[in-house]
Amino acid sequence: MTEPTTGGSMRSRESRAAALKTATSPEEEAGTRVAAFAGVARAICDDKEKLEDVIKVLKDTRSPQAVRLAALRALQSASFSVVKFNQCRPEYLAALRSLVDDPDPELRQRVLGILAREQDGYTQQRLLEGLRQPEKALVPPEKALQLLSYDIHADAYPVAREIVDKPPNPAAKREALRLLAADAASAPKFEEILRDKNEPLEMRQLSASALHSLAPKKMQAYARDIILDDSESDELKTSSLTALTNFGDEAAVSEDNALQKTVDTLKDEASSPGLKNSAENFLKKYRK
Amino acid sequence: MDIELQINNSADWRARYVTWAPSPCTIRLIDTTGLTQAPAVTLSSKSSDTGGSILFRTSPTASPAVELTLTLPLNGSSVEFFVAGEFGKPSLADGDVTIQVRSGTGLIAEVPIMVRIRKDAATLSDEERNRFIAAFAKFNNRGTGRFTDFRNMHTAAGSPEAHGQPGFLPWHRAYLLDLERELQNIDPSVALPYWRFDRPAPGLFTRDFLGESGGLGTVRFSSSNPLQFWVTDGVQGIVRRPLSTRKPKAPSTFCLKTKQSGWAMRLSILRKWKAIRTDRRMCLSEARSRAFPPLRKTRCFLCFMPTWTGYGLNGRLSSAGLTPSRENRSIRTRREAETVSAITCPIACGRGTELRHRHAHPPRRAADLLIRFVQPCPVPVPPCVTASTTGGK
Amino acid sequence: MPELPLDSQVSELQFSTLVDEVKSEPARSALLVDLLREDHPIYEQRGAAATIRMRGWALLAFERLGLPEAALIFVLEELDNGRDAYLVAAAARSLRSYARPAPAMAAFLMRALANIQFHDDLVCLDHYGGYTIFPGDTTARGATGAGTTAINQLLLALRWLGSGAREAVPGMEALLADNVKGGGALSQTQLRELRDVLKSLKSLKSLESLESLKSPESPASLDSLDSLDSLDSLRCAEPLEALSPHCCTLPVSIGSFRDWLTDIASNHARSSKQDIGSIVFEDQDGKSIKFDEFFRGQPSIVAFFYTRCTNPLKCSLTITKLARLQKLMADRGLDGQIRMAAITYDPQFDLAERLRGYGDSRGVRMDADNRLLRAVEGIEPMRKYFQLGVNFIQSLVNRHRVEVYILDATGSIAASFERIQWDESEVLGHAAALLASDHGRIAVPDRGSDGNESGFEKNSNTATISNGTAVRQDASASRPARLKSPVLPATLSILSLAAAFFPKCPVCWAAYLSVFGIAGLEQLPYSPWLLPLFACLMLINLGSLRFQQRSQHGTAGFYLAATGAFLIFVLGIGFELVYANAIGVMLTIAGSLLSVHASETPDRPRRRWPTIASHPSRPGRSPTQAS
Repeated sequence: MTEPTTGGSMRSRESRAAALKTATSPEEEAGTRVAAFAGVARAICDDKEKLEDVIKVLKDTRSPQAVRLAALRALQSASFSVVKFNQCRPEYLAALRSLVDDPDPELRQRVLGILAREQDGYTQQRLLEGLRQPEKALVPPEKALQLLSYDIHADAYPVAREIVDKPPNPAAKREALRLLAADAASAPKFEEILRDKNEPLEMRQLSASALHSLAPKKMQAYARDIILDDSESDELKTSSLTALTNFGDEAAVSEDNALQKTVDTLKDEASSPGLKNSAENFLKKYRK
Repeated sequence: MDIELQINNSADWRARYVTWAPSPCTIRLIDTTGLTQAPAVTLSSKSSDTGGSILFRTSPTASPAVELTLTLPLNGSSVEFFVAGEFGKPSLADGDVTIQVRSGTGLIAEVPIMVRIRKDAATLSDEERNRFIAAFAKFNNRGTGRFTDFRNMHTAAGSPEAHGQPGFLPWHRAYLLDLERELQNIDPSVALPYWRFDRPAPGLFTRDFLGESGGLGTVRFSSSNPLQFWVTDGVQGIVRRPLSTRKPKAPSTFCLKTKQSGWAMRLSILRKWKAIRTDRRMCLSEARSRAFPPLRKTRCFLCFMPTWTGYGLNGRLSSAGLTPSRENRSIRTRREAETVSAITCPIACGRGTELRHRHAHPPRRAADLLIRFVQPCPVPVPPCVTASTTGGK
Repeated sequence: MPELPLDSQVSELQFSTLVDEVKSEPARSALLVDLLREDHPIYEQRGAAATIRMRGWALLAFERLGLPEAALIFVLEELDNGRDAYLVAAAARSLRSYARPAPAMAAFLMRALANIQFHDDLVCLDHYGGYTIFPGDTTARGATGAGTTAINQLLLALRWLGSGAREAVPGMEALLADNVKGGGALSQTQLRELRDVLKSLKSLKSLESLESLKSPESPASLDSLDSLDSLDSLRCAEPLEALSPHCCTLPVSIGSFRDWLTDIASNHARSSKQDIGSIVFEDQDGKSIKFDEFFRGQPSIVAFFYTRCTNPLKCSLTITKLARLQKLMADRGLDGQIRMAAITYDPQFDLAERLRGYGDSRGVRMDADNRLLRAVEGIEPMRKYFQLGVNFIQSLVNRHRVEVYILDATGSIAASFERIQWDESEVLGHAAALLASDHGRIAVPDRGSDGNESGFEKNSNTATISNGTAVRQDASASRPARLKSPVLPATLSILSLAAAFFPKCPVCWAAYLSVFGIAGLEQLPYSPWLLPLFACLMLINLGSLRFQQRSQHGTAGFYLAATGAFLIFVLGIGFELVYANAIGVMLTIAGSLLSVHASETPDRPRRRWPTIASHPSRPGRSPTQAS
């Protein structure tokens, strides 16, 4: 393997230390610093000073956004070496918590994402607070709900139910429904949405998926009804057929002559190619 | 004349899958009525236009041939031969290539097999793609399937062992092999495809395949895609977004010495990249014979007790177990335990071998001990397996 | 502050204020202990993170009050199973306020180190909430800065343990070696602290040799001590000479084993047994089964879990252990004789398919006698009956403890293993003993008669240390229970004999010196007016033997004595047959002795005579209440 003529390989400890020094130096150009951060992940946990230097760059609101994001990426890359990074983990998490109020929205969102995946209680507290009091929101409600869905124990169900009833926007309602798909007590709500033909297709499909997890037998019955209902959309029928084909009760579906007859008709007469394919797959599996 | 034909040394239909590497087969007479001398049979293959193609050998290192003639002893003893997929002609569907056994002009037996290999995900046909995603969706089974175990293995509990440690590569190879076997329990015609992320793959992240991420990161699937019912830890759906929403820039051209970027810098980076690619194209047998890190004492990711990791080169061959078994087969002393799993060799040849995990003390969760290092079979990989595809199973 | 109803309406701010108030009132420390129960109403409808914050703050309050015996089990539970850095740090800190460091605690601390090392976080133990936002002083010694970590607190606790941590030295050395080679996850500061602790422990060993040399003025010996800190740490630990051979065990009263047959609080649960008949389960195959149908007729082992538990050391490990328990049962030929069930806390979500998948992936064999169950009816009666240590947010568990129960053949709870990791062999041993005993009574080992509840005794729940990890002792069912004192039954027999051989005149004294004098009782001139007395005493003897026979299943003693009485009175005195009296007396003696022997046989359940020793009590209860 040919070594490049210039020293950009970052293979040696010295070169990584030098790159880190360049990356954390405010005098350097932003582009240079961003490029330098690209190869320093392995050096971050060499000692405490290096970690503190990178965290300092991350928290410095005067640094360009690109440099701060590069510092965050370097820390994330370093965290992939779980064992070595473990000694840096407490300070890393504490530093991230201090950034949940950062003025930069992208950095804030990324930091919240990392902390939410760690199931951090403080982050959950702040996100819930933002959902209940929009003036304190750190991220849009749909993003907050998505982040809260990483931990089913996050006590987000009550606020998610409120948002489903009074959504600030469709994306928020969708994420709230997705979160509630882990709540067994929400099955009746999903049934209600699935039955309501006035609901947008996406919500109904989401409800079908949720019901499929929470109450599979009920979902099987609803799927059957949807397929047999001529007034239902092709998309919803396709989803229902897919559910029955892949996860249906084989014994029950094989004996359901009415359903098979209807699917046979769909295979020949449906205008949507997706529906036709789904009908074919269904019959391939269940036709006697 | 009745014969018995075994593929991969097994009469089980689940053994009828071969790869590029020669698979051991046997053939023998089971009914010698009317025979006075040892008959000669000819092995050949029949394939559809888009089906796979196979070649026969008398030994693992012999030259491949499209036909093979063997003499079957009257005493019923087995005659060994080898079958391998013809490189570049894998199967598209299960059983699309058949081994035919003829005696003279008469057809005695036919066995459908499949040349099942891991393919580039961007080149999968619609049918292959649909089978794969259906198997994967069933593997998840709305959050109740075996996928949950694999996820748990790979996340916080297993991460300290799997990532940033010398065992990173074999850990993930064994992990993916295990996952692939689970998929094959659902649909034996499925193999795990790979993603060439150094090439465009426009068909990959579409609603019909792995889904399309919106701005928020929630992945959307088409109505006919069974992955729409995916559930993880009780939460419906998948969230996936790139590390940065910004368009990625050109490769880093930062120079430590001059602290400048430019064409000269870019060229050296490109040269380095090519060198890496050449490295990856190295013959797998050469790769296997390279010096792997020696057995290294480390910590079990489950109970954090001392254990070992590394790449063993003990050439013991077990029977062709097609599904891994996690039974703890031997506990040596109170201070050491070993889990042995019968799997198929993850290197290339696809035959049975053993995965061993040696553990420093009696494990609390015998069922959860994960594979530490692999004992590969001694069969050398043919030199033809050096092209740009990995040529797995 | 006015008395708050302690329920889910209490805000976290109110809770922290209440705990702060209780901190300065030692008389109310029992309230704090009560707040550590998972099923306390104050944790209802709280998220898991809120529950952690509240529990952690309650644990930290003991730092000022001193950790009472009743709260020790909660601390050890957190060290044994905990994966949250804040709770583990709080537990380690509150452990240091316990009055008597025990060597067995070292095993828990080492285990906590292993559990938390990849989940550590910077926490603040000085204000409610526990979140450290800005990195502060993270050194182990000076944990008065803005933050500390769980590992730092654990290392401080090891240091506090002093000589009690000696058994954990091999584990600490292994941890140090791993980290030095680069395979561990401790920071340089933490490694320094670990080295210090090891050095101080090793210098304690030097101190022991100094003590034995009895030459404190020898300068060469004193120079071997690295620092005076090691002497300071000695003050916290047991005096060296006090360490008994059973030094590596926990105090009996804080054991995780609970004998429901003697526990008064459990009687309340058993009194609600009629409600559990309403519990209907669905198993992993979707089949319905009632409580009585499954749990009556044979002893059972019951564990609780739920599939969405995020702590692998709790539910996942519990179910995996059940699989191992099944193998042990099969090895001992107990398959089909003891049933096994795992019941989910979350029946609405854990449907049959989910249960089967969860059990399958952990190697649990599921059949008619081994099931994973979800309660479809009677969920509340089930919670009350088992006194489950769990709480919920909506239908989802927010916190629970590790709990395994042993039920007898009538479906009554006989024993439970709570909080700390249970040993499969021990649980099986108890279940097997139950199988062998009558009416589902467990043969509980005697606690001894010295009445020393806080003494260090071996019991079936001891934790011994091996290589720095906690290892449960095997409590095999074949190990015989200690014998109860046969003093009283033997005394009664002797009294009856003494009455028979009561001296009537001085000649009797001479007769007693001779074997032949025994048979000449009927020759004594005063014997006729002693006859009624003699008859009464014989009747008393027979009556006591009959009474013992009922509880011992042994009838031979009574019948022998009755035959002897018949021979003496009817044939000997009535018909004056030769040798009838002698044979009668011998049979009476034999019957009494046989009855005493039957009471000493360990396989037979014994009558529970009151003993001087106290029984193990639940945390927070006094010994007198427990019995």
